[in-house]
Amino acid sequence: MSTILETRGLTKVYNAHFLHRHGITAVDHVHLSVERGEILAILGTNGAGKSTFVKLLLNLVRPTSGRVSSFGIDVSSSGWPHSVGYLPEAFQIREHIPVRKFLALAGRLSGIQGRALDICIDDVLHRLGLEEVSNRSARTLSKGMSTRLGIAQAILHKPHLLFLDEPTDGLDPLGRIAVRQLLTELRREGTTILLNSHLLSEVESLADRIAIFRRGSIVTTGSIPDLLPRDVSYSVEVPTDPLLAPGWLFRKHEEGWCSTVTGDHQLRLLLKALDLRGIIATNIVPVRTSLEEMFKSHYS
Amino acid sequence: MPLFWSTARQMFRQPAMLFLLVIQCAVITVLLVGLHIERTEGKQATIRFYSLEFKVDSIVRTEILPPVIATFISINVILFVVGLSHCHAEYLADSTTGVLLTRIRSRTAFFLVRLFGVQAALTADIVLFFICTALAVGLKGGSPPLLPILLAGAILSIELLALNVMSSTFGLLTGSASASTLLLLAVIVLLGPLTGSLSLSAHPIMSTTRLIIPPTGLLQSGTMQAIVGHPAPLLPCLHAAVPTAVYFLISLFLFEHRDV
Repeated sequence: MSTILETRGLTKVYNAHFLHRHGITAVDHVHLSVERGEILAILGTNGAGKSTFVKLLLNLVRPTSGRVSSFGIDVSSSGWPHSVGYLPEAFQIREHIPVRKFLALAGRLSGIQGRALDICIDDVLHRLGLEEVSNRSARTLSKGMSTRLGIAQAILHKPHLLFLDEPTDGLDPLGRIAVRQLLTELRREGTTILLNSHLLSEVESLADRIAIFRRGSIVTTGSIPDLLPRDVSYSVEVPTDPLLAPGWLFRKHEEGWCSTVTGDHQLRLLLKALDLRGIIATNIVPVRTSLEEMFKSHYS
Repeated sequence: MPLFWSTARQMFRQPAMLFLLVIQCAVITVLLVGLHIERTEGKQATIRFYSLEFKVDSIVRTEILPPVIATFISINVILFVVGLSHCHAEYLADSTTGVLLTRIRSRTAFFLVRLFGVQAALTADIVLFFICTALAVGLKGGSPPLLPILLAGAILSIELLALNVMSSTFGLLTGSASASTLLLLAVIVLLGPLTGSLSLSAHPIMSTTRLIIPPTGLLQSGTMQAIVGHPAPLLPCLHAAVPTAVYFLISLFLFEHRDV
């Protein structure tokens, strides 16, 4: 894979003025590379700097220091290729413009004309389930429909690089499933996607890699299997008094007692200890550490 | 070009602009219903405007149009300020700005298209209003001087460009449509007449003041001079050209360095 986007020491400090002399550091010396064709998810709590980071990548926010390059070209230079799609956070159109006309405007600004533009618009209207509202004013759309329209305009011109800030914000469960499928299709078509989301289950099912932001810095980055603990935990349930197996921590369960051990070796030792005392485990359940737990551990 | 026309069209959807259009239609209706002009002898004419009646020499140019247009231009300008402040706040800072900027890439081009899209709508509105006013007077028996009226409309449009640029500057400086409206109205109402009168005098403070808030001080003066047939109605616009250009550069600089 080749690098499509790269940041070096990217920093953004807001509001450094005489009342607030030091300002607020939204993004702090971030080094990150995005490979062609991957889905990179950016995770973090509210105010962690995710949206500012995405805007810095698009040159919508000017960095205080550091640089962003895409396709090897600095994004602030005029030579940067245009093939990017962007869905901003909480996308909402305030102008009275019909959905179809807005898409036509976005398409023409991306250089698509005539019949090709009509085909592209019909395609995204269909993919995002917006056919029925295509002649409605974009201003009157619900939050979920506005998000769909935001995604539609972002993918209309088939960009190589797609930035999606909360793409399932306000969507119903079916809408979320549809967006997940759409992103999977886009990845298959070779689109590189930067996904900014709070929905960890969504990220877990879609992302090739994640980057966790905390106070403007990346605290960890890598693929989900690499970041999650390799040793699987096991929940072992026994029906009788666990005091018969000293040295092992059991807690009272509805139908007996339960202990959690990490790794196959520990499991074997526990089963052996139980066997020596004539206790038979009624249930052994592998417990996988979820992305949510891993995420929480970075903030605890 | 698509963004230019979209901006111009959307300008007419602004509540302040819609209100302005209603007022302009009302003005023309009032003229059509209440104005009666009867020619007597020579160049003399009797003008009846509802219960008012007076005799004049030169019917339209010096007696009728200046007060009518001056009154309603004042209302127009206030509504223009409100409309402009809101449209600049929306055009330069809402969530679609980021989306459009990822496509246009050149912030200067985006800024120019937005600014002149708004200006195109203002110009179209002003010129049409002036033509309709002249036609209304013509229908009632007057002889409206069409050329000076078109010239006045064109000059007012140029003067509104100064207002447009100032509105954009204040919007970018304050980051708020309401604050921008209040600031611009304060400048026009409180400081406009002062700088307007100073600009007509030879006071030494004139040149300094003119550089700070000159466009508003000169607003309407060129228009009025065109209506009454002044030989050099463009002169006030030329006076405002340099400071308007300064405001334009400030506005462009602010937008170029703004976080969207």
